[in-house]
Order: sequence, then C-alpha cells, then structure tokens
Amino acid sequence: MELLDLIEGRRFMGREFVVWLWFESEMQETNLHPTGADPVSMWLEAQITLVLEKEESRLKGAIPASSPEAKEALRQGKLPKEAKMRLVHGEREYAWTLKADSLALSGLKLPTQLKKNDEKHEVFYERMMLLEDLETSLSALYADFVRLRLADPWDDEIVPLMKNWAHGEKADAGAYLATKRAVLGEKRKRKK
Amino acid sequence: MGPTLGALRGSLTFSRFYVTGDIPDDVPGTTLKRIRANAFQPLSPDDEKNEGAGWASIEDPFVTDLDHEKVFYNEYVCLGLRLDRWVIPGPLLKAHLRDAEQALLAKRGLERLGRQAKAELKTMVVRKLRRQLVPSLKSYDVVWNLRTNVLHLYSQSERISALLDDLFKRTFKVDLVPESPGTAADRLGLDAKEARAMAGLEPTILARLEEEAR
Repeated sequence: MELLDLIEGRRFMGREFVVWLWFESEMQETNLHPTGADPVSMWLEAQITLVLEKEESRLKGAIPASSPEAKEALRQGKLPKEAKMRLVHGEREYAWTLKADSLALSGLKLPTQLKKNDEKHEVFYERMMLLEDLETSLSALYADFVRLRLADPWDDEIVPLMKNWAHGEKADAGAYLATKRAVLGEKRKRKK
Repeated sequence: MGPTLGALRGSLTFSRFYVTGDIPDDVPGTTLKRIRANAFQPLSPDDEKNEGAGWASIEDPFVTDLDHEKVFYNEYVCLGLRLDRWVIPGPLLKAHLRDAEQALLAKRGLERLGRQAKAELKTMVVRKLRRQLVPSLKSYDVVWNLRTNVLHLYSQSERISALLDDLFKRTFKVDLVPESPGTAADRLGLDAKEARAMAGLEPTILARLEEEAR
C-alpha cells in the first residue's frame, strides 16, 4: 500500500482499536494479557468522545464507557475518536487520553519517583524508561488487535459478539477468548 | 517562551514517528556537524521571511551552540526544535503604516500612493517595528531513541510536524514516517494474507442492519 493510503485510508483502525480495547477490558474484567508483554489492568475512564461523521457524543463521568449512553452511541454506529484511559502495570499506574485517528497520547501522567530537583539526566532517563514501559504494553495490545482484525474470524465470530455487547445482550466471553487464543496462538506457532 | 511540558517535565503530549532509511551506525559520531549546521539562527529585522526554525538545546532554547553532551543522552538524541516568529500586532502596524503614508504623501506632495510604493512602505515600517520588538519564541522537544528508532515530537500540531519533517530530513538524511493506525499495523511485519486483508479492509460497523435486527 502507498504511504498516503496507509495513513489516511486506515485511520478508522484507530477508532476500532479503542472500541476493541473497551470490549476486551469488559470481557476480561480489565485484566488484559497482551501477547509477548506482561499482563496489565486497563480501562477507559473519565471521558470518551464517540463520533459518526459530524455527529458527536461526548460523555463524562467516573467510567462513562459503562454508561447506557456510551453503548447507545455504539449502536448508532458511532466509534470512539478520543478516550481517557488508565493502565496499571505492577506498581506503575499511567493515565492519558488516546486520540484514535493518530494513536497519539495526550496529557500522559507518568508514575515518576524522582523529583525535579534530582539530577536532570536521571529524571529524563526515568521518564523515558516509564514511557517505554507503557508503550511496550500499548504496542503489544495494538499488535494483538491488528492480528485479530486481519484474521477471518473478525467478521464471522468477533464482530457478532461485539454487536451483542454493544446492544446490551449477553456476549459470550468464553467464545471470544477461545477465538482470540486460536488466532493469536496460530500466529505464534507460525512465527516459531 | 515555549511549552513547559515535554520530555523533561510535566505531563506528556506528543506525536510519534518512525525513523527509517539509511540510518548511520554511529549517529553521534557522524551527525553532530550537520546538527550544528542546522542549529537555530536568530532572526534579523531585515529578513524577508517572517519566521525561522532550527535546532537548540532541549534543556534551554537559548542555547544553540550544540555539542555532544547537549545532544546525546546515552541512546537518545535530544533536541529542541526552536521556532521564532515576528509577531507585530495588527493595530500597531496599521497605525504606523497610516502615519508613514501620510508623511510620505506630504513629502512628495501627492494625494495617493501606488501599489508598489505602498508595498515598499509596508516593508520599511515592518522592519522598523521589528527593531523595537523581540520575536516570539517557541521550542518543542524532540527525542529520537536510537535503539528503537522511534522519535517523539512533543507537539501534535501538523504545522510543527511539517517543520520537523523538513529540518530532520535535512539534518540526518533519513526518512520520518508518522505513526498512524495504518503505519503502526504495517510496522508489525504482516504476512502475505494479512497484507491482502489490510489492503481490502472496510470499517467495522457495530450498528445492526435492519435485517439483523429482525
């Protein structure tokens, strides 16, 4: 694919990634296991903006993604353009806003231990180490999403489950996890 | 002054880029000369251009005499993308222009000025006013991780991204690919089947079609 098409023609994948993270987080009660990275807890919080063309729903609250309005927006065909997120990796806790169309992070708060008066290079290295720690988790989650999104079961098995979830019906978490394991496990085997 | 939040302090807001192309094995040993050649140069009131950009120290945008210690932090290349701009308030320019025009008309005994004379007068007034002002200064942190070849620009402005693209390519002779959902997927190393699926991908719709709802 040409670079321009890869960038502009595939922006929708970012919105689908956020909705998949949201679904994944609810299916697994926030305990995510990205392939090749440590397990993390992750959820959407505080604010989410869903859009369909020029129509926009901006929802705020403790966990707006679990509000009926958020699922209603999904049922109307809207997808998240921007969402506040929190991720916990061991003792480290990160919070930021993800812009879906570019995968860019805003207002990222790092769990730094050093203070601004500490040696400036050490402060910088700590910040970069924490940033890389978060990005490792996010990259692994994005890789899992892409593998699932490009596999045959996405349309046949996963999307129907996500529709059930969006419509407030029972989404079979066991069936979803089995499909996910099959796709990602197969990829791992092929890589070996 | 530029933004106070970035790589060194505060919360982080950034765009990511992948550095690709012919990346030298020894970036610190081979690029310092070109970084120095592209360091920020102060604007002059007589310049035709209204703004100028170049590299500065990530820690202090006023430091533009860059050396190894100011740029290379272990595996990181750290720079400030400094952008200075002449900003003359519109009403101030208008008032000075009116006074200068009236003075010139009186001096030449004319009733009105031609287009070219007006343009020349404006250039002269702008230069005069610039001498009484200091350019606005902004600096954006840029951090290139040489181990992963991922670069963080601490701005999400398209204009600043375009400035970085130009300055970075000119300095390092490599390519910068902006991260996006598509480029991030492509970077995973898709197999042939996945690449075909990617090329034909259509957006997922979670709304139910009428026949599904029945």
